[in-house]
Amino acid sequence: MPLTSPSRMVLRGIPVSPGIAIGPAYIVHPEHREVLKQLIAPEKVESESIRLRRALDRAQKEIEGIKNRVSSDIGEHESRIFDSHILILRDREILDTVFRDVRENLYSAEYAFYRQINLLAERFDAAAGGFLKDHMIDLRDVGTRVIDILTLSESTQIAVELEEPRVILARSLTPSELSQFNRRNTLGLCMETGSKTSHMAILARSLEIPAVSGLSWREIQIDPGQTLIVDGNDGVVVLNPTLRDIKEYGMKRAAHFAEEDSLANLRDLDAVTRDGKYVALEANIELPVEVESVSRYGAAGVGLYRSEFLFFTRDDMPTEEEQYEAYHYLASSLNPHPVTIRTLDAGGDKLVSSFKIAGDDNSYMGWRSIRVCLSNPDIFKIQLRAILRASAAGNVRLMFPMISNLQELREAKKITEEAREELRERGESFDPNLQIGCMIEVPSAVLLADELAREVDFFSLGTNDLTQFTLAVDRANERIADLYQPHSPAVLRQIQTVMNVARNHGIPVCVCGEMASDPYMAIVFIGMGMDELSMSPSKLPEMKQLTRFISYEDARECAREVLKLTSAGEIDRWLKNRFQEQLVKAGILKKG
Amino acid sequence: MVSKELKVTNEAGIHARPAAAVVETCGQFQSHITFTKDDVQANAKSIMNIMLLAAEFGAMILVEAEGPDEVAALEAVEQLFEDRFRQE
Repeated sequence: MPLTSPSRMVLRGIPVSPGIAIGPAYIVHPEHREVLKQLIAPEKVESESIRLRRALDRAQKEIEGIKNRVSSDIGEHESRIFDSHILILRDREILDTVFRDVRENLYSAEYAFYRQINLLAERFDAAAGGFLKDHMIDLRDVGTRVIDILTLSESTQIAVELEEPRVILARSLTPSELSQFNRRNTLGLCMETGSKTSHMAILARSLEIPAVSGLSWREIQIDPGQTLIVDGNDGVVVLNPTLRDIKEYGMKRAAHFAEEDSLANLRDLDAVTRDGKYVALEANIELPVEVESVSRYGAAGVGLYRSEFLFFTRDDMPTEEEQYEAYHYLASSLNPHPVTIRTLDAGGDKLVSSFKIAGDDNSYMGWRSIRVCLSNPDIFKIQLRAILRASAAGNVRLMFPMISNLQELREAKKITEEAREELRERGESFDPNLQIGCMIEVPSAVLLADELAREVDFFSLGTNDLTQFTLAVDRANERIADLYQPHSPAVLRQIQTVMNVARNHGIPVCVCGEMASDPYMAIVFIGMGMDELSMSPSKLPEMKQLTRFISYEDARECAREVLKLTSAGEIDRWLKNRFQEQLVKAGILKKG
Repeated sequence: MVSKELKVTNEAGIHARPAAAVVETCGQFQSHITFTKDDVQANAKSIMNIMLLAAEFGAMILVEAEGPDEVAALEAVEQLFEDRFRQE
């Protein structure tokens, strides 16, 4: 047994962004800052007030700096929240009390400010209906900033510019906070909150910062500057690692880089099978900033842009102009490659903020997605106009999610036509031949595929929802997790049905669910004749390697055989028997 | 003093950004301006006060203005409510 230093500790979390980082810790919020009551001498009142005034000025400058940075990096709208931060900072009611506390009660500036923010936070917490809960973060943010300036603690100084490479540890971090760190010196990221699909995780992946979340903050016993290892591939964090750890992870990191490099070489090659069948490998993205990864990984376009992420960062609706800006950026940056924009696919609360989630209303089978849009045509049209206008700048495809019958598709197309009419009246241009497609993710849509195909330009298979609706298995329910089987013959046969129908009608089909990035399934899909596979950008090089490795002939045979099988287990075994060895040899699959 | 009862018609209610718009608008006038909701009175030039009213969609707000430019101030506030706090 190797000797380990007593403080070595291995923590397990959720791997949210791949890669390995080794370096000294930078702790964003060491703890919930507590400022103890401090009194000043009466003759210090004047200088304490000046100190406070200077701290407020400096805080305002910092906030304005962040605002500008967010405005240029993320968006004008997101930056506007910092206007409220400045108003909080300059709030008469707060400042009058704080300065009075310094003058009359002889509180130190930091204690007076801290106390006032705390009192307000308590009132925010108690306010009716959780109305202000979201804004407590803003209040605390402003409070912490001023107190940090007054106490000259490390975080406000380094939060703006890391002077040396560090691994950032934070209880939670917002995308705008992450954007304050310079990328070059941000080695890795450890957080308590944030799922794989959170905004933060997406941003970390597109910036290629290894990240692990879901760590218990209490367990992270580490001082600023001490070394730690973040393994974003396996979701492991090693605090105070031994030399042996550092060596081991150093090698893993080198291997990771080497792999990235060799995959990057594939970027400019086409995804063509050995016998010449071309498959368009495209990217699934959530944010316009991901344009960079789309080109870096050599995607043939965007097969799925989840537009709802524009709506998730805020509590009101993005305007037509704001949406247009995002869509236009994507379309023009990636032109001539296609950008498939999926219209809002979220619960009703995202579109109509007065709609309160009640009971099961927000379930997968509830009032969500296209259903919400169709019942709010005026709001839906805002998005459609923005998408149509963006189509003038590139190769945009419009896609409706969760279509479960013909009527919904016709209704959505009718509203699109109205949006076109409005744009014509306004004299705005758009692509008159804009392709319109629909997602096939509800079993009824599979059964009606023949009718739907007559009225769309393309199909896109959402395999996650199709699996859960076909098998009547709620993905979120852990007790039945083993019943969620995307490889089930019931799912695969539906996909084959959709494929056959699409071929009869001469329209392309794309798979944009998680299944597309499973190497075995990708072989089956290619064998079925799928035209496009869309997945998260970092999976693309591996998939391109796979495509170039197999032959279409083999894949077709494989699809034929697999479709004869009768259980998910049989299908898994058959695929492993047939391909595992080859895929491992080719370096596409790892051993074990 | 002039006053008028106004209804919050933006769906998100007076959260941070609308509150900022209120404070910015009211800050342009010399008059003392208050918002009252359910007997809670708020200084309309303080974002904290306005946010703490927790005025949700449909809430009725009594707006009072007192001072040399009170009529213009009330008109500006009324316009702001009509424009749904310039958020949409």
